[in-house]
Amino acid sequence: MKFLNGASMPDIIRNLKKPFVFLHKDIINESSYKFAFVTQLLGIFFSVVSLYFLSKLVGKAALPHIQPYGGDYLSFLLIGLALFGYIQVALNSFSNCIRNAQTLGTLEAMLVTQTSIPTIIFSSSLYSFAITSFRIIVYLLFGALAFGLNVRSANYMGAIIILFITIICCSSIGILSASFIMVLKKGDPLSWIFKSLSWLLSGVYYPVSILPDWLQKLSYFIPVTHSLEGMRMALLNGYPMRDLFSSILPLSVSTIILLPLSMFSFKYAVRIAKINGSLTQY
Amino acid sequence: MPPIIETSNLRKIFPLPKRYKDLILHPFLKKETIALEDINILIDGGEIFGLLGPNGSGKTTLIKILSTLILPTSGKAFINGLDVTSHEEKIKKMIGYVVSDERSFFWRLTGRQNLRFFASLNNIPPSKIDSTIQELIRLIGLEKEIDNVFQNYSSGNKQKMAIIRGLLTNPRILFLDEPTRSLDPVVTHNLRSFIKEVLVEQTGKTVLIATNNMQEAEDLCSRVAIIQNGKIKKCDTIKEIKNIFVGKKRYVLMLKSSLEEIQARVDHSYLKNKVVNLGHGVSENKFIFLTVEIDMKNESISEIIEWLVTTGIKIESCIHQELPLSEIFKRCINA
Ligand SMILES: Nc1ncnc2c1ncn2[C@@H]1O[C@H](COP(=O)(O)OP(=O)(O)OP(=O)(O)O)[C@@H](O)[C@H]1O
Ligand SMILES: [Mg+2]
Repeated sequence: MKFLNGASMPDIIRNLKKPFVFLHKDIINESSYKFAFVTQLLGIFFSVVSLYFLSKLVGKAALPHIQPYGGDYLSFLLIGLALFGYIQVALNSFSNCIRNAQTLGTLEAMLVTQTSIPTIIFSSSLYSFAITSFRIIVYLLFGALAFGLNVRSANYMGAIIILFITIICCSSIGILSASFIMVLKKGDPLSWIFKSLSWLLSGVYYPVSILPDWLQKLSYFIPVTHSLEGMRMALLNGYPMRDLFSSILPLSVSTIILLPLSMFSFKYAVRIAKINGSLTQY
Repeated sequence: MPPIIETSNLRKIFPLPKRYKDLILHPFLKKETIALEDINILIDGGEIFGLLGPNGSGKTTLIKILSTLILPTSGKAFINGLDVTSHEEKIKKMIGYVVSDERSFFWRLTGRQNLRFFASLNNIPPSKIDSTIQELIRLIGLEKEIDNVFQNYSSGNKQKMAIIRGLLTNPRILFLDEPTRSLDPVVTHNLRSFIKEVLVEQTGKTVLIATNNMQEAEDLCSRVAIIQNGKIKKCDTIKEIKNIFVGKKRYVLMLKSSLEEIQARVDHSYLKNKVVNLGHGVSENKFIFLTVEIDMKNESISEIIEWLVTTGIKIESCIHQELPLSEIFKRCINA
């Protein structure tokens, strides 16, 4: 049986295994830095504890801007931070992987194997996604136990769809910035701008409605705004699919534009690196 | 049968980074370096072909172009009839590439973990990975160290890892970039006979080997291309290259007489322009060594011996000296 690009069934099964080969390698690699590995785990604990004190400060105070999200600020914040955790990984991990492989000198050695470049970059970012997922699960569990994050009536299916599209959308931007890194090695402007704007405008810490009018208009053009909005509506208000559509649509449109663009630009960046002979340079 | 490796008018020009000063003063001026120029080679299946050249001559660049890691500026290169610029995936299935760069491993993983990782990337079935690795570490001799962390390996063992990795897929075509660099003489000798007897004679692989070691080229290669500044100076069997460039035979005569006397006699005879060297031996101070070079076709050493005997100079010994490959190499490059 032949599939896309003439790949056969065993080829596809092998490619499904490769992300785990990378994950295994990265776990061995990262856990060999014992001190950093432990502090990373401790870091999760500390940020959760600081959330706890924040919850003591804010408590159940009624904030008018939070009303559309069920009225509980901590739940609002927790969902925002959790999703933004994924967004950050999607934005950074691809260029970090490329940069790492360049400095280690392993990029060329991987590129000469029978594994395609998309598989390599996707697989090498899996570890970051796994660690982030672990962190976020701890956050959410803690939220549920310590200050009653209430997601019992949530639309989980909707939340998962939004998470999925968000990751693909932000990964596209992440891959675009990885293309810069591939050629320039250091100093990609894209993910920095996108991340800073998102922190400011998309409503991680506060709802967009608190921003001045013109900034609110601007925030509409940042896909992350729709992710956060949709995610909160799905988890905190349990909106049905039909009501999540207004968030999913702009998110999907930006993904449809960004994904092919990022794939194209990455291919082009590899080409330039092969012309410059700079795969092993950093 | 078509050649396994073929290049035609292959050129590679690398762009060079500009300095800040040039960025401002000459923003449109291109800085570049020519790494390869009009490279034409044909390599048949089952051949060990050597790329012999000094540092910076373009050997690594050529190998990287053939392994699809660098794109040529112009000209064509084919592996088994497939263009390297458009059939990357198929070509990667046929080749093994032994890099000369020890940075290409994960230093915090053990040798075995590294090899397992690269074996998986090369689509070796999981059930065969461990046995393949085991067999290769036995052949190359790395059993003791294989479970140590890579960063603690000696340079030679790092080099062995690169060789094992290149062989993992049992490829039809092998590119070896200075494979015996930093290996000790015993391992070097074993590796060379392994390449020659097992890889090529038994399993019929094609090997392209880049080296600046004459002995290696002479021991292994059926043909070599002598390359300098990106250009092929000569491409033939070593025997032919020796003949073309030499056409002469060298003899070293050990004489018993005073240096001054021999010098005076020689200077006034027909021998004068055949002498390559005349002087005391390094360790043998008693004797005078006379090195002469004569035309292979028209002259013979007996004439010279006769002349020496008639002039009363005592001859202790006379030996034929093979022109060392390094000498030929020097001549090729200066030609
Ligand atoms: N990425 C690059 N960018 C610019 N110039 C390069 C690049 N790679 C190689 N060169 C230049 O191309 C020339 C050939 O280099 P190459 O590495 O192929 O030499 P080599 O024959 O392998 O040398 P060695 O025996 O030292 O390994 C050199 O002048 C080198 O400086
Ligand atoms: Mg080299």
